[in-house]
Amino acid sequence: MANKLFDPIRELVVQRVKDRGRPYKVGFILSAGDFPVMGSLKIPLQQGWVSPVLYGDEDLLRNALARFNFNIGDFIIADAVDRESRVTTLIESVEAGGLDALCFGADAMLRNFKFLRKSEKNFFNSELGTCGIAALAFPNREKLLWVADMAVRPEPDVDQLEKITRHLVNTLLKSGIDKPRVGMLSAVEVKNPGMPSTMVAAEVADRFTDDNVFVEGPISLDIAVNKMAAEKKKAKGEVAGQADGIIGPNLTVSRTIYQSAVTLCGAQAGSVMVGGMTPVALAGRADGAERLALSTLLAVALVD
Amino acid sequence: MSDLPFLQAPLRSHEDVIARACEIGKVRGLSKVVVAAAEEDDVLAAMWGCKNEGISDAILVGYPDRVYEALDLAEVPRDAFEIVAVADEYEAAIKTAELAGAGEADVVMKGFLKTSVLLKTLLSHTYGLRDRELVSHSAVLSIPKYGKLLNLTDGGTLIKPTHEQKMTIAANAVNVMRAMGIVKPHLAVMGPIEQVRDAVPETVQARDLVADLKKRWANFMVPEGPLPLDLVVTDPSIMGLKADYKVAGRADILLGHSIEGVNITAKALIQFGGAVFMGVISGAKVPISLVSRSDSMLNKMSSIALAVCLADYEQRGFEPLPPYNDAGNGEDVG
Repeated sequence: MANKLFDPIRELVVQRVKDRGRPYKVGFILSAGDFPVMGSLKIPLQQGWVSPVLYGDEDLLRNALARFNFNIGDFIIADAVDRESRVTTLIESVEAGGLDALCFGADAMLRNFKFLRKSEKNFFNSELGTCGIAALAFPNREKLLWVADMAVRPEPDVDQLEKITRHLVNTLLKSGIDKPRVGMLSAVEVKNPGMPSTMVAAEVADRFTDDNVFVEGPISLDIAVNKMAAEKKKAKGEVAGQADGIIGPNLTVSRTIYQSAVTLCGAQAGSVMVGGMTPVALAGRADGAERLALSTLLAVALVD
Repeated sequence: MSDLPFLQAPLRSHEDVIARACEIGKVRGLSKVVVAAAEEDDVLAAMWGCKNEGISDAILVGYPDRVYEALDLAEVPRDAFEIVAVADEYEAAIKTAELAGAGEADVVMKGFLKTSVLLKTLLSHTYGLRDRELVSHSAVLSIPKYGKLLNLTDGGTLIKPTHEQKMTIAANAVNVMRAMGIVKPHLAVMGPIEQVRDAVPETVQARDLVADLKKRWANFMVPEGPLPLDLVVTDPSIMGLKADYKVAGRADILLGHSIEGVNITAKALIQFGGAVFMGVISGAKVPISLVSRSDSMLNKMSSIALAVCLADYEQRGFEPLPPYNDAGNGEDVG
C-alpha cells in the first residue's frame, strides 16, 4: 500500500522521460559502504528513466556492479579516487549540462558531501538557500506527507522558515500537486506570544497569498493530517485534515518526524536536498536500497 | 501495601498498564478519581468505562444540573458516581484541591475547566499538594513497533524549559517510569544529531543536561544525549555504529527541549505508528490526568489507568529522587 503512494510521481517521471526523449542523467556518488544498496538502481534502469553516471574508484565500482549482475554497459563510470576532485568533476559535469540530478549514498554523504557544500564552485546557489525535504508514505494514509526542513537550519527565523516553505511549495507543485496544502506546525492551533513558534507560523502563513497555494498555521500535527481530529476540534481552513506538507518549527522536530516515520511507523520514504544546481537525492544511515531508489525518484521528479 | 506486591517486571504496553490498574482495584479497592468541573460528557464516559473495568471510581465536582446533562449525554446512569455540588469552575478547582489535600483523591482529573485554573489552584501552597519544584507532563506511549513503553516529556506544560526545569522534568519522568516497574530508567535527551555542535544549540544543551543528570542522579537513571530519534529506538549496531551507547535503542524516556518537539513527536507516533497515548501530569502529591476531546476512549481509559498506577507507586513510599537544587548543592548520589 505505502509504496503505491509514490506511483503518481513515478508515472510523472516516466511521462516526462517520454516527452524529452531521453532518460535523466543522474550522478551517483557511492563509497564502498554504499555498495550494498546498489540494487536501488535496478528498477530505474529497467523502467528507463535513469541513465547513471557513477563517480568513484573505477575498479571498485566495476566489481560492485558485477556482484549485482548489472550490465556494465548501462553505466558511465567516472574514475575519481580523490574525494575532493570527485566532487569538482561532478560540479563541472552539472555546469556543462551533463547531469540532471545527483545521488549520494549514506557512506558517501559522510565522506564527500562536505566538499559539495564547501566547493568554490557554489553548487548550492539558490536565493532561497538549501533545504532538506522528505516524502513519507505511511501505511495508514492515502497520500504522501512531505516534511521540511530536515537537514539544514537548526533554528530558522521567520525569513528562513518562509524560504523553507517556498522550497516545499515548489517541490509539491513539481511533484504534480496543483493546489498544495502546507501546515506550519506548532503544539497548538492558536497564536500565543508565550509560544513563539505559533507567532512565527502565523507570520509565515500570512506571507503566502497565492489563491492556489494554502499555507496555514499554527496547526498541530493531528489536526493537519487527521480529518476526524480536525472535525472534532472544529478546525477551519484548507489545510486541516488534508495537509500535503508540514513544516516543523526547527530541525529537531522535522528530523524527528522523519525518523519516527521510518523507525516506528512503517513508512517508506525518500528524501532530497533542494536549492542547488540540481536536486540531490539523500540517503540516511541504515537506509536500504528501496529508500535510496525513492530518493532518486524524487530528485529526478524535481529536475527543472 | 503488603496485600499487593510492587511490580516484579516492567509494564511494557497499555494493556499491561490497564491490567495492573485493575489488579490494584481488585486488591486495594477502586482508586478514587476526583473530576474537577465534571460537566464534560466524554470524560464521564471514560470514568464510567474505568468503573466498569474495575480501574477506578470517581467523585464528580461540578454544577449538578450540568453534570446530570453531561451524564445523560454520555449515557451514564445519574447515580453512577458521587456528586459534589459547586457553582463554577473556580469553585470546582478549589473543592477538588481540598478533596485531594484531605487524602480523598488518589488521582485528579481535569474536566470542563481551563488547565491553568486547575493547576494554579492545585499547586497553591494552601492545599499541601505541591511536591517537586514544578509539575510536568509525560506522554507515555505504547508503540507496537517498539515493544516497550516510551515516556515523551514535556509536551504539555512547559513551553521552553530551562536547564533547571529540564532537571525536574527528568526527575518527574523517572518517577513515572519507576511506577511502571522500571527500576533505573534509560533517559535519552533529544537532539537532531548525536554529535555536539556549537551551531546546533540543542546538542550543547543536551550534553550539559546529561552531565548534570549523571552527576546528581546516576543511581536513579541512565541518561544519554544528544540522541536523534532513530538512535533512541534502534539498536546502534543495526545502523553500523560502533560507539558504546548505554541508552540508544532502549530508551524508556525521551526528554525534549521544547513543548513543540515533544508534542509533535508524540502526535506523529499516535497518528501514524498506532501508538496508544497515556498522559499524566506528575510532580504534585497526586497525579493529574488530562485527556483531550479528540483522544479515543482507549487513550482516555489508559491515561486514567496510568495515573492509578502512579498513585499506587507514590503511596508505597519508595525512596524519591533527591530534589534538584539550582544553587549547586544538590545531593550527589553518583
